[in-house]
Amino acid sequence: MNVEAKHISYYAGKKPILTDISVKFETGRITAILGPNGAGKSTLLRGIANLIDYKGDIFLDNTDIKDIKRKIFAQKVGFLPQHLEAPKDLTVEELAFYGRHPYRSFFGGEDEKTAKKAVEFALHSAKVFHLRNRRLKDLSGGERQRANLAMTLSGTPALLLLDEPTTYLDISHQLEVMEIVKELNFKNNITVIMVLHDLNHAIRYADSAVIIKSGEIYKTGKPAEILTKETILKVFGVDSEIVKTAGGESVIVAKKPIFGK
Amino acid sequence: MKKDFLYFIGFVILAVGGFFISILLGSAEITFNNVINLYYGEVGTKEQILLNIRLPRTIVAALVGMSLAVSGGVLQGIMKNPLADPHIIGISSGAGLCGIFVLLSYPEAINFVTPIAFIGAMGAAVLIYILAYKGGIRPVRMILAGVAVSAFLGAGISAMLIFYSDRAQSALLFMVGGLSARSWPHVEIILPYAALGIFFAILGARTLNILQLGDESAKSLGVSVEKSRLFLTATAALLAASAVSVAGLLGFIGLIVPHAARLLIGSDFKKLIPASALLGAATLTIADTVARVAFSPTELPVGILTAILGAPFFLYLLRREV
Repeated sequence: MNVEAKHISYYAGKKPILTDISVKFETGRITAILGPNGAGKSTLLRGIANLIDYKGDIFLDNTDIKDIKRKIFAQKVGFLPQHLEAPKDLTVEELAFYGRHPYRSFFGGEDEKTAKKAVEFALHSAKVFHLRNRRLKDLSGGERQRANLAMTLSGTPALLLLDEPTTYLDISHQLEVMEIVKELNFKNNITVIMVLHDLNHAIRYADSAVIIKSGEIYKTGKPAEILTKETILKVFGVDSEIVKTAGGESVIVAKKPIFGK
Repeated sequence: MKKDFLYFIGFVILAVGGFFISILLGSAEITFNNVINLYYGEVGTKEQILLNIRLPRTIVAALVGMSLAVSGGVLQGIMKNPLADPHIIGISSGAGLCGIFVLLSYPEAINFVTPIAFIGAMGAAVLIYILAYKGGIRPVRMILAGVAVSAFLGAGISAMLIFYSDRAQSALLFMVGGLSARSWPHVEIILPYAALGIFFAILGARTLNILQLGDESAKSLGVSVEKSRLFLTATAALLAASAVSVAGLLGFIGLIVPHAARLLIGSDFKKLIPASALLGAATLTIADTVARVAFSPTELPVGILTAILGAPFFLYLLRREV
């Protein structure tokens, strides 16, 4: 699914969060939105998810998202917030069924069979099928995040928006989530836009990156190419070294913060 | 699934049990035989008592209990607040002020008491939202706004008491909340509104589920959050108003019952709403029977009993959840 943002601005009260951002996200790609805290990454993502009142236009396959009915939009676009609040006594499967809401109408809607199939697809994709009868309160942090992902996937979105999907997870669970996202993109051709903190994840898993600094686009392009020593110093204020592994992958080694950049 | 089914059988047994306890126990001795006699149309004195006193009062108790419990369950869902209850957050006071105004000033307009109480309940709900809203609704702020609104509306109710001091007795009973002398006319007052409210609540159950995921997630799942919340608030206000119209300011049923239901069958509102309705009916029919029988021949207003049970429970929740 092709996403294009044109001249997006957003103010929190009088404080500018995003100023005149124009950016294109390509179909079938994984794009990482990068930048320091408070740069406006999540705001841009929430703009694309049609959750905030921004100025400017955002197009989904060339249709202005404000012209798309909320339910239809919800069927096409899956959004996973940083914190998904959910009653802890729900089972993973029950939560995944909640993700079918865009297909329901006031008196019913889709048949149970279609819903069940979509939920099973989501549970398998997020690798929580074996946990489907567990309650959320009995899950580890990583399992919980995969359950949340299953909820987002059961609506069978063509565009997946993830807000810092690996925050609070240990390394192994971070990689699990990233691998799941990669697989979804590869197997099901789902376009992914995600806010990430870990620059090395962006290099490994994203096809392209959008770097935001103080509400403006700093650079876009292939992560390994645009994440240079200079960029990292200017955007994050961190002195770093970029090393190549034996396999030829770039790895960023952050060394120390430069105060008063 | 099977476990839920068993729970529901249990709830139905409790509700039916409460119903029979309420019609059989009391100062006049009535047995099951009288019920059977009544069924076959053999009407003696005891059957008269059963038909015109016990039965309507029990039906009113069941409907009030259902309405309050479902209203509380819906409010707890839309405010994502375990302490929400129509009485505590002041919605009942809004209904009460308007209701008592009609009852005292225009007693001939008794059939309009519920719609007018609904207007009061809705007004109070909107007022509480406006007062408590500051980039989202926090539980504590909402409780405090509710206390303020309750106090404000309570002053209005007290003023009504003074203006109509000749009818102070009935007004006082209204404020405590009770079911004494409730009969068939009261069934007619509450039945249509309670049925409508419960119907809307069941329709809204799925939306309530989605609202538990937070406003942004609900929006991204295609829910019009503001519209849904308004519809559900109106439903809760309608139920509170229908209960207040016949039973006065009866407290805490809307707090305790949905909580108990949630502990037993979980947070899925598709199950929680019907469970709250059944348990609400059971709780109030049994509580009212206790209130009638415990200090016989003196009858205790059931509102005193629910407050004695409910206030400590509220404090317990306050310590645990906030």
